[in-house]
Amino acid sequence: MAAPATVEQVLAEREGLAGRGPAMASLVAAALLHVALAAFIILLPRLMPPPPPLEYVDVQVVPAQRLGAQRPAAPQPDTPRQQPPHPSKPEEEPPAPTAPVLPVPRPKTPPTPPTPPTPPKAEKPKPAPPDERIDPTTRPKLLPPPRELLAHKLPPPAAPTPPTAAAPGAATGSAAGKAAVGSLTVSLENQDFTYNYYIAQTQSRIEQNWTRSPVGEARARISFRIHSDGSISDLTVAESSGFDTFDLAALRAVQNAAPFPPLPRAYTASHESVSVYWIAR
Amino acid sequence: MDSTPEPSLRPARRPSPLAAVPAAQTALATLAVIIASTVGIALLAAVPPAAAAQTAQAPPAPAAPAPPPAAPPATGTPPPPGVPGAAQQTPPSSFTIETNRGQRPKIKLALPAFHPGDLSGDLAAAGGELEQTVRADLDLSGYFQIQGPEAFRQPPLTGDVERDLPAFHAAGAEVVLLGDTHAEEDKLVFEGRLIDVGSGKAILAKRYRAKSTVTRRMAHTFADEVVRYLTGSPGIAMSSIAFATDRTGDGRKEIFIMDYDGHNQRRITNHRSTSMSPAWSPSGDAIAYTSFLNGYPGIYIADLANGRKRAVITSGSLNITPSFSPDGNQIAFARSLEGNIEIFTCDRNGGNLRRLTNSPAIDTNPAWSPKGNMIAFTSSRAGNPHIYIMDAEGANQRRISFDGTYNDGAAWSPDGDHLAFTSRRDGRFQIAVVDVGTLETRVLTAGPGENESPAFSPDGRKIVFTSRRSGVKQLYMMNAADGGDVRQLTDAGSNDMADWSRQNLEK
Repeated sequence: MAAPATVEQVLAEREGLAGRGPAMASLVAAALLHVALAAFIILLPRLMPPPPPLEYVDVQVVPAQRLGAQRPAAPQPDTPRQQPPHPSKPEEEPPAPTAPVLPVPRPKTPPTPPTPPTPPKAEKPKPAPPDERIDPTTRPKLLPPPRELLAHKLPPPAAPTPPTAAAPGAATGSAAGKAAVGSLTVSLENQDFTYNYYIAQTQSRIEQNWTRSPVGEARARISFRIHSDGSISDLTVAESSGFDTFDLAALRAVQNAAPFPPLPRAYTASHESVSVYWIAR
Repeated sequence: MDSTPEPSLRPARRPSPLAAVPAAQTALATLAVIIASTVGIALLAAVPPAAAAQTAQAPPAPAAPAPPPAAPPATGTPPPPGVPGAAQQTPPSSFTIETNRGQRPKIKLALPAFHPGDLSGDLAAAGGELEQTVRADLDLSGYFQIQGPEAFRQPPLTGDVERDLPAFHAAGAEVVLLGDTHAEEDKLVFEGRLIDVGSGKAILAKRYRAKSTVTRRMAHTFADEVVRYLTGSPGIAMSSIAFATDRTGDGRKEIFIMDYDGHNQRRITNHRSTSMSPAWSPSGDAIAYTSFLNGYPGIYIADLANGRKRAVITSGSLNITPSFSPDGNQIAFARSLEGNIEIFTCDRNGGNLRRLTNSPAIDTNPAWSPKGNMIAFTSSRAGNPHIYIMDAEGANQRRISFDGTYNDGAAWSPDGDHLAFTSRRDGRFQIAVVDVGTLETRVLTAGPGENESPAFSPDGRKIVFTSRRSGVKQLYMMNAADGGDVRQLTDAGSNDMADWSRQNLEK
């Protein structure tokens, strides 16, 4: 490795030994200098103080009430991101003591069915956030191309959702005025999923990918399931428009819009996924 | 560590006169989207233009007036590659880069002042910085239309989510972000939560505790989490930008890095020579660069974990402009051979040297595509410097840029669909973006100031570039879609040749 040696010499010379170069020194001095330089360069990284440790505790809380009203004695580290691992660091956060942040379900939300109290203990031990980070290039579930989905056109699922009138409590599309292009409805089985922002986001994304096939009056109901990480599955035409091109384009709109944002953390504490319909018209 | 904290992110002069009129810009961008989608329809379904026009109006344009009905039918036929289509009749800065995906409406986010808790001294300052940083990150992301804090001061909020919801609702917010800071021993504790305004339900809540030295990191982490939960896309608040600067004096140039928002600028090299052209390794663990350390330019790598630098290629008379392959194992660079400059690749340790180009003209400035299968580079084989791409083995070399008299410094978008580059138009250097598939080119900057050396953010939504618009070369960032939202990142010395890390980094 001739190259690195020369680099190190040059580096070291320029980093403080310039002027004292071995040019006029004897062979012995040069040799000594080389040894010193080597030692210096090898030891330098170890002598330098390590970068300030990334020391914070990052806790997943399923909240329900007033901010700061109930402060736990100690947090429950969910992803202790300490880096680099420093053996003798005295300031490390103590590992998760007991008191978790208690999510108290608000008493004042009668419309929703009795939501499970979502104890934090039941929280799935999520890996570090980077793991659940969505990589748009790798979809967890590869969906078959739309044409295949069409081929296996399924009968509408059991839930007899009223086509236009949204189920009570279920949030509809991003804006009422957009009903002309379609609307997203939460299926009856997940009626407690009332996050308007999420429905609006999902609807908006599908719309961005929706290229309506010009077949005149048409209406199709596309059903699919959104998982906690925003990926989708079970994409099918629940009610065909009668036009294959229209159905295909509607399927493609949903498929291209996915993955969607992760489901609300507070919801996935007790649910795996949510089943929705998108009405293309 | 030589850190040079400096105020940054101050709003900069917008490059385009058109950008000063956001409404007009939005309308034009929307128009462009609609035109593009019309073309898409024509391609997909082969429908008559009239029907396409009708369909194009079916998806409601986000927050924009109805498009002029005359435009869409004109685009019944797709524009031939490289030839400006009907869409290019309008000024270039009005285009959106993701014509196929369109522009999503911004999420209306209420962001009242954080509840400051019982902070004092250092922690109070840290709490303030935390709030400021979260706010700045979310604003910079471009995903949100942020309301507050002023909007929610009068009448004051009660602190009870349920009782405050009507105020957020009245402000038209879809989501509200509530923050609470307080002290625990000598540490700052931050609790942030997102609430769906429509239902009053919590979306997400996170609690962080740290010493005040990592306040910004805490804020960036939370901001990225908010972006991810509300948009499904990863944030970039933990990414970094490497650049070359002369701020150390004596005409030398050193490699520095900084946080994506211009904070925390710090030295990487101390060669007391001329070091430039930094290139991030894909994982962010190292930076390759060019240095005149040995008197002639060679390729070096700085290992960021331990600060060590080592030579990769120093043989020959000139080795410049390195670029990592996406697997991080190889480096493409320009190398002088018998007086002529060609593109070479080598392993990360300098072995396995291979020559890719062989032309009597100058071939330089390679940029390895994110998928690894292509390398973009600059060549003067057609007389003037222009952007070319080739397979990563050197085959299939083809020209990408046709407009302008000087095109150089190509940088890939993370999805590999676009190249940003420096383009001289009407005697001035501007940042242009070309769609590698269609060769449709847009110019993102305008006016004087020599805008050059672009690099995409990890999410492809921003471009960092050099501009002399303030008199001295400084780094700026702007929206990759339309060149809007320009912000200055540096102001110490002269700064140039920025490269944006390929992902968020654990700093």
